[in-house]
This record gives sequence, structure tokens and C-alpha cells, in this order.
Amino acid sequence: MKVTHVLGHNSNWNVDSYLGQNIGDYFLIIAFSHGINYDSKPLLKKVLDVSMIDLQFYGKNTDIQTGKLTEFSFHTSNINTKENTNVYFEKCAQQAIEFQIEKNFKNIIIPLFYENDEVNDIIYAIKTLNKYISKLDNKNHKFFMTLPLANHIIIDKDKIEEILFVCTEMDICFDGYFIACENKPETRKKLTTDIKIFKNLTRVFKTLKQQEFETIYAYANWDAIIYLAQTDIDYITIGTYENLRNFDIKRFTEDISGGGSKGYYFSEKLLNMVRADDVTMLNDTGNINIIKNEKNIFSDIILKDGYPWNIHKPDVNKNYLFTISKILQRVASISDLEFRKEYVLDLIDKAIKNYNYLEENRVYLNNESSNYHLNIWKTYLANS
Amino acid sequence: MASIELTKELLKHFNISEYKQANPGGQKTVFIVNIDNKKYALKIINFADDRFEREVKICKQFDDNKGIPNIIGIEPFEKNTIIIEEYIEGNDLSELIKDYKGNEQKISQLIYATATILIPVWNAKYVHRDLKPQNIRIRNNGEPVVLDFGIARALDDESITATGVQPYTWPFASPEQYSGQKNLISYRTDFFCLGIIAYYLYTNSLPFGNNRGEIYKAFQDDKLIVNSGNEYIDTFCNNVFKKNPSERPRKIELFLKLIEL
Repeated sequence: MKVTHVLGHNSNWNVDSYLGQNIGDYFLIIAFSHGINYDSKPLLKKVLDVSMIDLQFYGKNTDIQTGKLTEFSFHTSNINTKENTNVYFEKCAQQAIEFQIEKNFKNIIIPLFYENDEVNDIIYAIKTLNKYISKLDNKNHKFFMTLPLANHIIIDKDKIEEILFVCTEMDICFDGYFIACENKPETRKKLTTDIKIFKNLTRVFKTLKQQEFETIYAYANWDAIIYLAQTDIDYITIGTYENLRNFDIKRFTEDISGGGSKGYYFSEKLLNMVRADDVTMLNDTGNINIIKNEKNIFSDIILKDGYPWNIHKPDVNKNYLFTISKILQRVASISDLEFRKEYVLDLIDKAIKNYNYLEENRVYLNNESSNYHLNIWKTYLANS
Repeated sequence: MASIELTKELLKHFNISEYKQANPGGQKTVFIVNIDNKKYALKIINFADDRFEREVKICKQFDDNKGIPNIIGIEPFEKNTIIIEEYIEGNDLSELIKDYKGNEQKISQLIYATATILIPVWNAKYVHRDLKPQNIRIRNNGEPVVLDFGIARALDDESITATGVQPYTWPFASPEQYSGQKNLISYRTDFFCLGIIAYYLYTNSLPFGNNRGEIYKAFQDDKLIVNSGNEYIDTFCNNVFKKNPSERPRKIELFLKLIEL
């Protein structure tokens, strides 16, 4: 498993943490943020040989914030009309593949034009692009087909089977799949607690792995550990800002960026993000050690009393990158899947105990800082 | 089954000296006939629809495949269409199931050989959809022949049964056939059916129930696990008895490897 940095806004934090603290193994360049000249940026040049690029064919110019996507001449964001054929989108995807080959990416992400469509459109794209790849007869690159699983798809096991059925046909020649899943967490929550999503997304990863495909879990949040607990995943992305950790079709079709924030502290002991204000309260009540990450320089810095919390501070974000990458690496290093699951269940148990301890000491965390997710994780994993 | 007599005109036209009625096969009537001292299968098609044309097409396409009967001739006669087909000396597998009971070696060889016959069919994007002991004929030398491609489906074409009930034989059908999910029918449907045949031969009983209702109910479970009492048969069956076709072996080679003893 390769921990993969998502390079969006403030990519320097990711690259610095990779070069300086050895965090992560690979990079996913976001076309929206970096545009056509990504490879002339000194920062990105340092990691190009361990990078792939998501060209993000999510929506047309008429519907989305395009960022730097329109810099790519073949990009679907250049489409100004409502009416375009599947054949046109296929051509765009083919040019996107050629572009990545020319740029010498080892892992080619095949973009799939997507606007929250029905399963049949995805299936059509998979079949036609598979034919294209089979004719390329290119053994020097690995080809990953994008599977953008919108919320209405991931909650429906029949739709998932229809897609997996086509993805695993005998004539499929992709090396793997690039999976982005729209989890749609509830308001004031960062993670989904929908057990249908746990079940179906687990099945996606398990089935593709069992059928010997490589898998990339793109725009993953820290709940990736419950999927990794049950099957190997070849690449799992870690991202700083929330839009890099939470795939949302809407994010590409309308502007839903939020306002400023003091930021969050990701705690390995709670398996959760704790709001900056709650961190202050934990400090004030003498309970900070209950959530404090061990052997983590970034954590040490930001937990100092009086730290000027801000979402745009590098240490706040690097704390997450360091902590989640350590957890993912530890989980992935357990080759026996039964032991691996037990290990993750144990992590969850300890986190629940820590929450309970805080409550016994009359410290109550609310909203996203609270334990809204661990019980359902535990129930799901223990019974899976 | 009521016996049907062939007309004098038909006997004379095809130079048939002897005949007897064979088991019925779907929408056609089959006779074993003797023409010039050689046995053939004669099929009378009352209504030559797309299914009939498909069967003929498949048999002709795989004419050099020893495991699929050769078609000798097709001719309209009176109001029917007549097919004269190679007659396979031997027995239907359904007549021999006791010989296979408890014999995993023999079952392995049979399923492997049957799957090998179907490799070019599957590679050409056809699926048989009706594999069952009655559709597997065992030559006197023990080699199998796969019969009745009448409800086979070409995966790249619009199915002739695109709407309405999908045809299948209930004891040997897969979950996707029971649930009528035409879009999930593929070579992996045949894998599942071959699994049922393997289990049936080993135990002489069906794996998921003895009637449609029982099997339908069993197929509601997400996990289909069987226990035949034989580790080898169970390993094979439980790998192909995946409710979701996407979880069954993806490559034919993997399927063959599973059945190899």
C-alpha cells in the first residue's frame, strides 16, 4: 500500500513532509489546482517520478468551477454547450490518456466524464475505453479506469454489482481502478455513518482486489482504515484540506467552499478530528494527554498552550498527514487479514474508551469532535 | 410425454428406415433416426424463431469442435423446419449420475472437459445459459458433448428474450437467472451452473433446494456456502457459488485451475 499525497492547494506541505519527514510514498496531482504547467513548478518537479495526475472530468464548463482545468485543450470543462455526445467525451478521454503517456506518467488515470449519471453511462464508458486501451497494446504504463461512485450508486448494491460485473469481465485490460466515492456525510460530521456505504465500498475494493486489479482509493478520508482493515488497497490518498478528502460531485458542479476555520486536530487516540476550540477546552481541563498523538513533532507544536490555531497553518495539516499515514502503514503492514481486522477493532475499542474516559471526567465533545462514528465502525467491522 | 409419429412423407423424404423419439428439448421435438444405416438426431422445429437460428449459428460456428454436435443439414419440410444433426452414441449425463457419486476425480475430469469445449464459445461472447445433465451427452469413450444451445445468448447482441421472463432450467440455474437480471448473464453464469452440476454429481442431490421456492429463498442470502462432505468439491463449488457474478472467477484459466484435481 502506497500512502499517496493529494496535491491541491498548498501542495508544499505535502512535498515538504515527504522530503523532510518521509511521510507518504506517492503523489496525486490535481489538475484543477495545478493546470497544464504543473511540470514546470519547481516544487512538483521534485516528485514527478512518483506522481500521477487526476484530470478530473467532472462536469462541463457550463456547470462547474473550472479552476485550471480549461488549460487542458482536451478537457471536458472546455465544453460550453449542453449537448455533447458520448463519442465526444470518449475522444476527450483518449486525448487525456495520450497526454499522460507523453508526459511519461507510469500510472495513467483514465478520466471518466461524469455528471452524477446513471450506471449505464459509466458502463458504456468503461467498455469503450477498455477497447481503446486494448488496442494501444502498451505494456510500459499501468492504466487505471476512474470509477466515480456517486452517492446514489454507492448506496445501491445492485448498481454496484452492475458496475463491478463490467469491471471484472474477462476482456478487461485495465491494470486497476481509480475509485472516488461520494460519501455525503451528515451536517456537522466529517465522515459518513451509512452502513450501506461501508458494505458496498468494501465490496468494491475486495472484489477488484480478488480479481487481481490494483486499486487506488482517491480523495479518501481517515475512514479508509476500515476498508483497509478488510482488504489490501494499493494506493490510499491523504489530503490536507477537506475537499481533497471528501469526493463530492457537487464540489465540481457548484461552488460549495466553506468559510475560514481555526482548524482541527487529528487524534490517533480518538480516530477523529477534534475542533480547535475543543482542543483548547481539553488543554484547560488537563485532558490533553488523552488525545495527544505520540512521537509526532507537529502534534507537539500545535498542542502547546497558546498556539495560534488556523486551518492554513502547515503544522495543523502536517499533523494529519503524519498521523493518518502512520496508522495506514501500520494497518497495511499486517498481512493476515483476520489479524489486521482485529488490530483495527482494537484501535477502535481504545478510541471508544478514550471518549468514555473524557465523559467520565465531564468533558463532552460535540458535533464532528464527538464519537458519532466509532460504534458503527465497530459494529460493522466486527460483523463483516 | 406423448409419443409423436413421423409421417410417411417425412420418413420417405429423408430416407429414414427406423426412428424413436428422444427426450423433448424446449420447443423442439427430437428423434433418433436411422438414415443409410447411420444414426442421426432429427429435430423438428415447429416455429423457427431467433432461438433456433441462434442454435444453428452457434453449432455451425463451432463445427470443428468435437464437443458440440455437427449439423448435417437443415431443410424446410411441410410447415416445419428439420435439422439433421450428428447423433452422439452414449448416454445423457442425467442417466449416469450414480456413476459419479462420491468420485471427485471423475467429476473433475468431466467438468474440465466440458468447460474446455465451451472455451471458444465463451471467448466468442456466447453463453450457454442452460447447462444441466440432460444437455451433456457422454460418448461411449467418456468424452462429453454439450447439447442444446437453444437458449444460448450472444452477449454483444440484443437478447431475443430482452424483455419478460428469462429462460432457465430451475434446478441448475444461477441467482441472476432466478432474479431475471439479464444484464448480469455471462460466461460466469455457466461457471455457476457447472458448479451445480459438480455438486449434483458428487452428492446426487441439489445444492440449494429441491424446488424453485427453496432455491429462490436460498439465493436471497448474500453468501452461498455448500458442504458436500468433500474438500475438493467444496473448494471448487464455493468459489463459483458466488451470488454476485463479479466475484466468480474472472478468467477461464482460473476456472479451469479450480476444477483441476
